[in-house]
Amino acid sequence: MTLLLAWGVAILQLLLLPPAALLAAGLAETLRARLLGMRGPGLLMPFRAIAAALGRQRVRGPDASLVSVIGPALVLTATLAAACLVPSFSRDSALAGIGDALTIAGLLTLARLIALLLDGAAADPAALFAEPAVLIAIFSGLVPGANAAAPIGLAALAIGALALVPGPRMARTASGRDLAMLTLAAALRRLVFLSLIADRLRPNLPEGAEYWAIGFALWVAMVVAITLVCTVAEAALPARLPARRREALAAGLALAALAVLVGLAEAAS
Amino acid sequence: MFAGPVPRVLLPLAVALGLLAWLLAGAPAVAAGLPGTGLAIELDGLSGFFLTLALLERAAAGRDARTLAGTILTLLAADGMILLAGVALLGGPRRLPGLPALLLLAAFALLGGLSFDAMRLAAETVPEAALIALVLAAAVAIGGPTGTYLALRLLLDVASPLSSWAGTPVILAGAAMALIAAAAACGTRHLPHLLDALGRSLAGFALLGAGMVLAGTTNDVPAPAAAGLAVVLLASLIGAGVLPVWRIVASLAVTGTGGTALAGLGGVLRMLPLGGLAALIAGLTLALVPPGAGFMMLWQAFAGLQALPANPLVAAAAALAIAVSAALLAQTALRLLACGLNGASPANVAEGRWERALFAVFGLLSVLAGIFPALVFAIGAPAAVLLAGTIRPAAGPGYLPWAIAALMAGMAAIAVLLLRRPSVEGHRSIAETGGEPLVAPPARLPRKVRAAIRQAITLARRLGRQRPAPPTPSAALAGAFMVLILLLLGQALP
Repeated sequence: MTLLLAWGVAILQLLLLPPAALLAAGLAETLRARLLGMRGPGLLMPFRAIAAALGRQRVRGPDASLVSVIGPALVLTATLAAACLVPSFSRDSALAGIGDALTIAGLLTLARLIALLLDGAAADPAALFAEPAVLIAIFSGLVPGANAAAPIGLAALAIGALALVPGPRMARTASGRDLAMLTLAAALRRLVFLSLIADRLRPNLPEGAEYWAIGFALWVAMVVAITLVCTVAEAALPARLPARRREALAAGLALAALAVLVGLAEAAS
Repeated sequence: MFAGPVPRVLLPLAVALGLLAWLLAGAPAVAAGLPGTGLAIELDGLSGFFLTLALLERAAAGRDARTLAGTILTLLAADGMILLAGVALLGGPRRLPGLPALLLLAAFALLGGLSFDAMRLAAETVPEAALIALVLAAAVAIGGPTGTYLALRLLLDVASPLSSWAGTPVILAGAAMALIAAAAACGTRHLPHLLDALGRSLAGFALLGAGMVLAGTTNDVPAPAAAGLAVVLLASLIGAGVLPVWRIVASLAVTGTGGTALAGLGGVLRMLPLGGLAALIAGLTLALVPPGAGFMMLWQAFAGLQALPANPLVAAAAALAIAVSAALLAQTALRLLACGLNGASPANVAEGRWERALFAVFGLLSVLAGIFPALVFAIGAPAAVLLAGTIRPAAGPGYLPWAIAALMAGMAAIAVLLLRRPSVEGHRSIAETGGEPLVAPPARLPRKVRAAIRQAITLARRLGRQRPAPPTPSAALAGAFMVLILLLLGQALP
């Protein structure tokens, strides 16, 4: 029975996360537009964008390499696999035990690497520093007895999420099904970061299907709240610009390192 | 330097012998005792001999042939020293406790002499050729089986009398070496320098692992020691099994363009059907992302650092360094792959028979070692037991690479099924169609089946166009040595 429940959580999570990721992306875009005094595209805009992309045909150039062919699917695959490992409404997923937070960061790095390869000359390799910030923030959380380090590590994670806002750049390098896959992967990546932060803040709930509703409500509330905070920060600091993105990443890395040091000092004392 | 037929034959032979020696170093041949150990070490020496001969062939024809002979003899003497150290360790460590360490130090000095000779040769004869020769010789002689054996053996010998902090400087040195070399790899535009720096970064990871072994054994904590041993084994495997893919690709690019700049890699992977795939896998392995062997190494390094009993600040500093190193290595892999995939392809680059076979072997090795690291640990287990007592490396818990690979395969299937739709393989633009909308071609067979058939036909045509190189005296010599080694193997192994 426990095994069945665990697989039920895994399958539900797999079904839930893609639409939730698109909703979160729509929420972030709408909030950002409202903060800048505009009407905004609406919550369902990412769904419409994906539907429109799926309605168009994919065109590849004659010089398309192997990466251009399999790249978008590989990006979506790695991001979906990372999303399956992140706890969302329950921590009892059958897939939770096969990979830890380092694995999630590794899978996201794989997706980012392939996405940068697809971007070609427009790629910004500095974005590859986002996941190391996550690694170090996670390392800070694993130090036993560290309490004050946790908020700093969370701040590092939030800045990482802020720096990873999916920009409109992908539209120039992909089309059709490829564009749909890349758009979904970008939204999923953001949701993975938000879920990681939410999981660190969420209280422990007992196991069992009767607590799924509470867990779901908590997860949704936290994702919305963190999205709001991140969007306000993003509106204040235009992190979509490459220079700002690099600054945000550097700040995230520095904060993560600080979290490790504070955590270690706490543990030593 | 790779243009002649002799290096084309001897270089793969040298790398194959090095790999064979590495496998034997962990195979039951070593556990069987001294004869097996000696055989593995002598194979390593032969590998070095062929490698040096192949890479410095042009220098041998020049005025500095004496230096070449001295270099080869130095390498063989260093292997002899290691063999003597093994004899001393197995036969009389109680009577002569300082002898093994002295012999190992002598071997280190001789290997240092080899590097010195090679550098002098680089300055005096063929700069680019000798520089790459130095990198390759160092990778095989120091970062390969000999280096692994030396480092672990020396660690085991010096671990017991040292205090509990002895692993700290080794860990910090390894982390610093990995970080500095990764930064150098990320910053250079010359292929030999870049590959050299990648090798040094992997060596830094191996040193970090050795430090964790030392810290674990001196403090009687098995977890970091086991993780450190896994890091050493995987770093050695990546250095010996994955990096050669890019070395061969680089040599082909150097042959095609005549330069050593990174831009010379432009589009080279398109000309290599099997090599391009192997280089992609090897690049992802070097980028330390799952499910490659590189990520397993990174994960084990983090796991070992978390369990480290020493000062937590050391663990934090090392974790910071290797996290940034991982990002820099990912950037370097991105540059290699992006250069190899984009740009105009040089017309005269093609895979030979040797390259194709090696690409297949190394690509498979990268995938298998990443998905089933327990295989590597099982192969290396006898050597690990011999070198570090009862401590054995293990995969997980916390990361199950085969399960992650299976999960990714499942997700890929879901992604393809959900988003399947015919596409235009755009050889025509909208302008060329006269304003007509692009439509998918009529589906006689599924598109993927047709694409696979097209690729198979292209590959068969390419295979048919390439003619085998005529046999040369060096090839015959190499073949004779291979037969001799097989005979020796047949006699030595049960």
